Amino acid sequence: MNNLRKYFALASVALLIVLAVSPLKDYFSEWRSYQHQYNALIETLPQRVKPVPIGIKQQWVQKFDRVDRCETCHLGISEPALKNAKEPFTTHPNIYHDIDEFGCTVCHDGQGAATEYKESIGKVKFWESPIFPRDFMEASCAKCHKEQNVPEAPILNEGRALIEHSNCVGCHKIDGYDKQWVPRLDGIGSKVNRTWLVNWLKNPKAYFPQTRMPNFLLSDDEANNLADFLMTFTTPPPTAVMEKLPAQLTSASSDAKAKMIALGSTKFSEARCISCHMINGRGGYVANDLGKVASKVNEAWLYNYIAHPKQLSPDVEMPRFRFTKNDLADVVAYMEDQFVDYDAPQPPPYTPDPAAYEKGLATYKKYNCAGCHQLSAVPKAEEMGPELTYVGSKKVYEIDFGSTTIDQNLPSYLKTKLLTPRVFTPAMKMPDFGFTDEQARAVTVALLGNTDEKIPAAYIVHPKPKSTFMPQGDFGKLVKSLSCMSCHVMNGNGRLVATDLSMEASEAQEKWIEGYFKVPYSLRPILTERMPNFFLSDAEIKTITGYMEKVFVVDSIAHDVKITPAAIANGKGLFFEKYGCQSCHQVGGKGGYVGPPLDKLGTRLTQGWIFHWLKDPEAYRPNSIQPDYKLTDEDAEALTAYLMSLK
Amino acid sequence: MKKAFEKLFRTQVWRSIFRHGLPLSNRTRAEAVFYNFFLHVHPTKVRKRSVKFTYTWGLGGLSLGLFIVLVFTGGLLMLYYRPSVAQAYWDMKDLQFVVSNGRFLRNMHRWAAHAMVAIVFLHMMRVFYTGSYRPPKEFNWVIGVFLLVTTILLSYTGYLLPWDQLSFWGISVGTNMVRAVPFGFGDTISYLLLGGTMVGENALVRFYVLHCFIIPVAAVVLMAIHFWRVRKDGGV
Amino acid sequence: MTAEKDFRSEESSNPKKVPKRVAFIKPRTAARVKKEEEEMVMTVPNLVIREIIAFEVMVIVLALISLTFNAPLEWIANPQHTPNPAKAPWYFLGLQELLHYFPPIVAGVILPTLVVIALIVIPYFPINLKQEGLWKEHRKQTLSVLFTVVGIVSIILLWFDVYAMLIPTLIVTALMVVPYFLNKETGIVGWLGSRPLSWWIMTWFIVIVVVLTTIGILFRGPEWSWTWPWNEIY
Repeated sequence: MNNLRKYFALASVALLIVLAVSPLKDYFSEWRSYQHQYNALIETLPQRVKPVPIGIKQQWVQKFDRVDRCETCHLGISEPALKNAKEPFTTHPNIYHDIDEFGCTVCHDGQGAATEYKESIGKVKFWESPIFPRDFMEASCAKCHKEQNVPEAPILNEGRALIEHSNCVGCHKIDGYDKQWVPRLDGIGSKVNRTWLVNWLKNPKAYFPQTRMPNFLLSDDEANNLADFLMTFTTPPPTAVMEKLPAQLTSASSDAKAKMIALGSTKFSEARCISCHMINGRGGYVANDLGKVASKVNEAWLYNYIAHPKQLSPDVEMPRFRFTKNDLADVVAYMEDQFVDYDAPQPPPYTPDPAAYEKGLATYKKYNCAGCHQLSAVPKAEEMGPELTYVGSKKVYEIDFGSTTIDQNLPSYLKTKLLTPRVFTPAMKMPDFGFTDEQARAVTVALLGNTDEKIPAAYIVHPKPKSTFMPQGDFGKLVKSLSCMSCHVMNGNGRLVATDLSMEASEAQEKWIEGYFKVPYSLRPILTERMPNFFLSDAEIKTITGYMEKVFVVDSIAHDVKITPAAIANGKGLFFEKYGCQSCHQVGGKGGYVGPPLDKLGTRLTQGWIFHWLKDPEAYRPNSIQPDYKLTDEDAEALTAYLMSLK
Repeated sequence: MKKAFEKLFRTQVWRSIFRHGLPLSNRTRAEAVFYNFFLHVHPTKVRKRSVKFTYTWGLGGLSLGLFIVLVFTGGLLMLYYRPSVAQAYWDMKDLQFVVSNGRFLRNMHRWAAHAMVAIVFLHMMRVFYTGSYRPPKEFNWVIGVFLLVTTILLSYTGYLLPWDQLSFWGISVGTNMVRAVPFGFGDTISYLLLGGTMVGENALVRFYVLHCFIIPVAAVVLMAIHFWRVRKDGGV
Repeated sequence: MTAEKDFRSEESSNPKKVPKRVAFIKPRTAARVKKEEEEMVMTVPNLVIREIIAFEVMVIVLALISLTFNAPLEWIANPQHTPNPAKAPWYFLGLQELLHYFPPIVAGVILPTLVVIALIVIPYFPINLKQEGLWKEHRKQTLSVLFTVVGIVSIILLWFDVYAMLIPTLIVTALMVVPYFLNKETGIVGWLGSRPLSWWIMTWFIVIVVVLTTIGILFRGPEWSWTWPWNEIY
């Protein structure tokens, strides 16, 4: 009996002790200790900072349906005095958004509801969105910012550009990206030679390091069979008219040939082919490398292609140069002589397979070649990769990490997948795009931003609607044939390699434009991408200027400036002394190289353009480095008068 | 000390609440049992043999003890829990992170629930192996089987409430088994249980009401009969 | 105890010791009533204090477990993603394991219903009230019936490849027939020999439940395939 009482007493005391543990744990919680530390820390600061009352601080971000308790410990994020304090008390760097309105986890992820360090950063087993790695932070911008160029997010912008450039939409459905032009494969059998094709299929970047075409990591057999399959397609597209090679190309004496090559070389540089094309890695980035092209395509194809690019390869950007037949033959002779690949890799061992066509077709389908390339025999894309429109919301438990030992989270999965596409399971078909680490990170950032999170409509920044401006009529035909919009923008449509032509007729004098097309020269000699010489006829040039004078005019730019000797002298003074324009611009052989030379400006630009440009350069070319001096009308007019006098 | 207790026990207020004196004599001890609502299920005297722990292993008593713990912790958890798809999971997180002792309460509730299923089953085994289902206790055995089923249902309905992957798919697997009932009853029963064709908002509310009201009331009634029968059949 | 009459009477005149009553005792009545008067103790404090201690110890153990192990809370429910394997709570894993072998109607409906019904009717069948050992009488007949039943059950289990039930069944059967061949009165064999039929059936049922549930909890991985618990517990 006495023993029983002892046990009773013992059990009762033990019970009380055990039940006291949980309240004590609550009282000595991590966050309470941080708040005491914070209050102690601010005592040591020179500035006066208000101490915090002890208690959990939470932010209910109603619009995003979140409760964030991060500020329970991150007490100094809005307190500039704590700029140099250590985490978790330091001030938040550059806040682009109001913390009270957006909360923390909208951008940072992690577990907003948590009040313990480990749980809050979400690196615990059952939390699906752990805190965003700093490297991938810009992905959060993409949740709301759907516009083309997100301010302050260079990595995201690069990633989006890479996704578009790499034509990821060939295999993956991703909203918001356009399909890129890729050559049709009809007629490839009569275009390239088989050895080149096999080598290309095995490793495209060995031939042309900047190519979009990824490496599908084909086996030798796969590459051989696929090449055999492709080589059977010898019929060019129906639009093509294949002319026979002219006699001088096929049967010229070596002396005559040498002469042709010399002439071809001159024409090749006159036409400024390297404004768009590289020659062994040097030159423009708009088009392919021509350095080894003679070892890739056969002569007849090359001849016909330069003669009528868009007939052989529909929608290609290559403009049709108005070469005469003889010039064309010379250029082809030059290219065939010069652009030979002397160190092409040894193609893989090859024994013809009777079932090569079927096997090649199977390979073609397996790797979804039709996702990018068109080939009449295989009409549509069959095997697509997974849709990536919401890939940023993929849960960790939905990912198969295979036997890899990488961090078990989505960013590292995506980045690893981009760098080593087949590492998770060998059955994966994704090709290797040869991304650098930085590029893979950028693409990952852009992909991670594709979430299915519900964002209130008011917060979403939509992309600007794309312009569909396309000139019609004779000018329209010229624009198409010369692919003007591959380098110039017209009324918002086109690629901005060179200038925006939307105001061209208000900018430049008609006479100058005419002369420019006859002998195009670059205003900025240091640029690589210089206007090619298309060898246009006078009638064609008239069509162009006629259209420009009607359409590419902005009436508000007209401004009458009285050009008097006094005004010129005044302007000259302002030019050289007050504003020191010569430090960037050349006049009479003296001055800087940053801006274009201004000699003969009076024959090139209009008065109105010069005046308005000087007044507010950003209004016309947002990315121009021309400084805005906030000129008065008088100064601007005087400078205009001086510049117009340079003839 | 003892005198002070005696004095206390003699005051009118004390006597109005407890109608017996200090349980020191056999008489007052007997009174302590049958004047007390909670103890009156017990006889005033029990056989010495049955007081020994290994006689029953106390499994029935422990089951009741667990039920009491569950009602207590469950009642407190109900203060914080809202049975809706949008809130249920986040209320769990709040219990974990901001409610004082919330995590402890939930842990207690969860582990006690699992323990209760196991202990009630063990209790059934004990009753069988000691032959305690034999007449006149055969009907009490039947009630005991119902109590086992009730316990499992209590645990199972509570399993859905946290609304995490574990609960969602645990319940989905279970209700899919129900669908196998033939003659079209399976779908009907499962529809009745879930308030729809799949586990969703309605299922959550139904399971909540079953878990917090209907099944506990049934369990209490069955327990009352069970204990009353135990007593009538000469048990403790 | 008199065998001739169906009951006997007994009277006690000490009302403080035993409440006055008349009891009609049949041979099959619970053992308690047949016993002679036993030593009694007061409920307060002997029983009540023990009950309180038991309760307190239980709460202490529970509290210690609760302080050490957190109740699981996985990712928020996602109807779009079925975990692999999707497991029911542990007490249903025996059933889920059955579902792996038998068609759903058998595993999910018929068997559990039968089990509950079987449990309910236990006290209403005289055979379950018998306390004689299995082999006490009709030894040969019992053996042939036993072999027939076990044979049929084994064939069904083999048919569905249910080794998880077949092996425990055979082990229990083997233990059942040991006393038949080794006719001993003492030791483990003697103890086994004294077990009645109902004991054997219940033991078989519990072994099956425990085996199936354990397999379900520890040995089942993706696609309900066999997985060793040291690889990963799902």
